[in-house]
Amino acid sequence: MKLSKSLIMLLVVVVGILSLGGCAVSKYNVLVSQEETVNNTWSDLQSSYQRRADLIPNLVSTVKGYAKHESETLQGVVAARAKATQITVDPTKATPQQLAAYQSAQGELSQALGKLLAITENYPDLKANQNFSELQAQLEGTENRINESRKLYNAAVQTYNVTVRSFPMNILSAMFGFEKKTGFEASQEAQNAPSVQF
Amino acid sequence: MYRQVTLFFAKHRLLVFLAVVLLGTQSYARIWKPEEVPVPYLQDARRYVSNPENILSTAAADSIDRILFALERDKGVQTLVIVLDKLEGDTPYDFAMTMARKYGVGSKEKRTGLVVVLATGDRSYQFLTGNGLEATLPDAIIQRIEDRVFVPHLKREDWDKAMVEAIATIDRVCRGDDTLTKASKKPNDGSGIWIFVAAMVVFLLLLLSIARHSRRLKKQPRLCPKCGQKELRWHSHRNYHAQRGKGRIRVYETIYRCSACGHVQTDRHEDNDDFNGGAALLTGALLAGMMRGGRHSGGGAFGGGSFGGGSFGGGGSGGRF
Repeated sequence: MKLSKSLIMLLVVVVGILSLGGCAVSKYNVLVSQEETVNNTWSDLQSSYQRRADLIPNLVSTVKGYAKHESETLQGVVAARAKATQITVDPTKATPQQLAAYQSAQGELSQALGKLLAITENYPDLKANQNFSELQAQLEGTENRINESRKLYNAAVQTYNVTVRSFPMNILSAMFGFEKKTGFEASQEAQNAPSVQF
Repeated sequence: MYRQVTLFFAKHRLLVFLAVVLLGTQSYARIWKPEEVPVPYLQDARRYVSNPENILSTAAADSIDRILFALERDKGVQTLVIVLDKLEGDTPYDFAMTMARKYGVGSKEKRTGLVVVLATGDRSYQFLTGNGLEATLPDAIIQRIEDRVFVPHLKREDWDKAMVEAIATIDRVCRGDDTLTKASKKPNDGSGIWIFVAAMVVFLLLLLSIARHSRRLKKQPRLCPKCGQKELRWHSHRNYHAQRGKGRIRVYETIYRCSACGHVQTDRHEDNDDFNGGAALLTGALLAGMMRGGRHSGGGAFGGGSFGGGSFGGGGSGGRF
């Protein structure tokens, strides 16, 4: 069987286009699933923060019963909580500025909580309270959850960014609308997460 | 030579004694890294306690094992209990999390893993619940167990009693709650689909073999190609194995004979010899059984256990005493 030169050329071009297209499609699908992982881990992180916010009213009312003179600190916590719960971030549309605002609001809440837990050290009756010690345990567990979620989110973002910026996708990502995402940096305030002492 | 050695020992009796004591205390004051901790469960699916320094008595470890074995069998909660002297970094939370992640304690779907770490030298402990266990054992409940059962015994350095009672309490809490067993009875559990697929495969194979047998047995009437007068009549059939290339094949031959001129014609049909009808049914049934049996990992024969790849999100509670 003899093929004409132009036919061979045509075949080569067709095969080339097909393989490039296939490569792009498979990469695209990988990217879609990685973006989905980023979104999932983000919502996990957000629900961990929400969990912390939900614990706070109960904590504040318990502390209030024992430490009436600390109303300033208690108000600080309530205000920080209100500010933090106002900001919700949609990971699909979030800009780095929005993320930073979210981070700093949550960081402020961490700081306020840290202060509150520090002053409770001065109230032995409060520390002996069963309800308070369970709330403290829940709060500690929630801080751990936040840390774990943050790690998972950052890992997902990193995997995604590597894919977006590596070869065929760095050309195509603009076309498909994939952008580099920002990880969750541990802010200055978040470093001072409330430490729970027993 | 021997005399010299004994002489040396006799002369420096105090030195040798000191060396032995030093070595002894050094091995006692070992600081454990997560990757160095032995996990007996991997060798024996009934042993949940890692107790390399024998801080717990054998009796205590045994009774913990018994409770936890029943708990895994009934409720699907897979536990790893680690009792050591000192932990690297003195961070029981990180230590427990590293162990939990490394071995994937708990099943992957239900995520019901539990890791308990007690460091008697550091005087610290950590309970870590898997994502699927957080509803059954919320942080507050764990804290309550620690407060009322665990820590009072720890303060008296009664490690046996502390651990056994804490595990027994956790066992009771898990049994008082039926969400875990309910979850395993969900219809979209996955095993049903696999049994269905296996049944379909077996059915298809059976159908295929019936079709082949019936085709082979059917007498095909056609005119004799030689004289063209009479129909060829089925005479006999035989089948045998033959070597074809690398593989063995099975050859089915059907012999037809013309009743007028006596012409003999042989129809040959070849098949891969990797399958026969009766055995396929058996294999299918075994496969389905294995799939169903596989749901209860660790049950049946007591070889090494395996952890299911459970995930941990940071739930649980820990502290110092």
